[in-house]
Amino acid sequence: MTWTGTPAIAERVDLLARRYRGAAREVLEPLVLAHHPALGRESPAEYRKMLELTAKMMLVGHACTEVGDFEFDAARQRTAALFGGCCFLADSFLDDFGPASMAEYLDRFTALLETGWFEIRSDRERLFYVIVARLFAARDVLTPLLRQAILQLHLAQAEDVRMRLDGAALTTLTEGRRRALLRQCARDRSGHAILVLANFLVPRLTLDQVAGLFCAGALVMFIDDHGDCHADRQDGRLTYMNQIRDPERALRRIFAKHLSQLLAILPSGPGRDLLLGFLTRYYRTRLAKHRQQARMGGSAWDVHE
Amino acid sequence: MNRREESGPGTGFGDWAALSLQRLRPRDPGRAARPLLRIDNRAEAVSAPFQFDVVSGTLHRNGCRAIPASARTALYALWRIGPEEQQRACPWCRPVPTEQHQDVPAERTALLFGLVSVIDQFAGVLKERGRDFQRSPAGQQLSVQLDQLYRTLGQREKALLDTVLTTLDQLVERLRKADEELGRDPDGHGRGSDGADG
Repeated sequence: MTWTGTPAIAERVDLLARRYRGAAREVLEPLVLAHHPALGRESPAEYRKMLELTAKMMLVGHACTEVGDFEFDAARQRTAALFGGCCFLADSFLDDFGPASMAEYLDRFTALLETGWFEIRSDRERLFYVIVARLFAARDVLTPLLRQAILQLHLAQAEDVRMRLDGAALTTLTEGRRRALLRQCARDRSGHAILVLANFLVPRLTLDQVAGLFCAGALVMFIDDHGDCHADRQDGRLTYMNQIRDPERALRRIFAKHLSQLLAILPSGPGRDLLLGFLTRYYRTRLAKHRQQARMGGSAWDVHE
Repeated sequence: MNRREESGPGTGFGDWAALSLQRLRPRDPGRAARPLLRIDNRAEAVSAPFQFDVVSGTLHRNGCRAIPASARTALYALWRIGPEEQQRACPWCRPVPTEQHQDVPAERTALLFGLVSVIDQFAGVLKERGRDFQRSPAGQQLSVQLDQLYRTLGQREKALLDTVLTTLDQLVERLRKADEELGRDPDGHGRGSDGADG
């Protein structure tokens, strides 16, 4: 089964991507100013990256909502923007403060999920917590699927951190086993993340929708890791996409496989078109990012559309 | 309180309440073990009758041997399935739809206990805040209004309200006693720091 997007779908993706950049700022800026003003003032590149990621989450959230047959109204747009901000900050705790703090944050997130208690130690943590609290107020967070998605995402992050902190253990594995683990970890991180987002936005998803969205989420991570391939290598971080010989060819194959899976699972409609339109655009821009970083170098801090 | 939390476009009552709640976090490890909100439901999920493999989109009975090892990190527990979900059923274990039934009484009881546990957990703070509020002009005004409202109630409504308040009070007391009993070892001694700190 193949899918060829139409110019109208591509135009819709472009239009929404532009619109959600402004909307992301509208939702997050007051919170940043109130709780962590230094973020915008002292780290403008990081702040821009946060807004860019949030706009992407809003676009994905829009597609998820339409796949679930609901309208992506103002309240859902706010929820998706909060989710984007939450993901960005949670990733920053794990990525930007060194191995010791990475492991410590993981323990504290575990405590947050097991007890609801979270010790706020800095403005960044206050901003994160306020965003989480607003998200949790947006929907009944104890819904079985939503709470499981949150937990599964956390466990996938923990596995990723474990592999990063114990890189030596990975090198003792056979090449095939190592790749399989990295591939599974990438799949789970983004697959569960999109299910968290979708469950915050839509009250009930069918099993077809759950499987389809997980597949779309997994594809996002492979595309993302290909785009960050050089930056990740520079940071000494192993990912499935930077461990294979011909990543571009592999990504092409992964992209085609996931797309045909999505076409088989999700019913046709504007939600599916928007999701596939977004994935196609993301795939193209990340191929370009990969090539650009191969030529000119780059870091994880570069902001790309 | 930090002034930034009190006012401004990026703050609201919900943010203030959420931040204030975290300030009640018990400092000693024994008390911190008592959860405020537990997202992690793995303990319940292991006994769910069905598992959905989101990678292949296959619905299994819990523990089905056909679940691939690579899908172990992508399984979602399900407690009920409908007939429309059977098209995703694993051909090996063949899960069947569950009969629809509403477990309302159990949920109501859980809700009631949830409410009681929150009141019990934060009783000290709530009482203190209540006394402060009662002394404030707004609190005194509310007190007058409630008093007037109470006087306008008929005998039956008064009796009902009194019963609800008394029942809640007794429930809190019973829950506290049960908690204390559970916290003792067979010799009747306290189990840990929870009781020692009061």
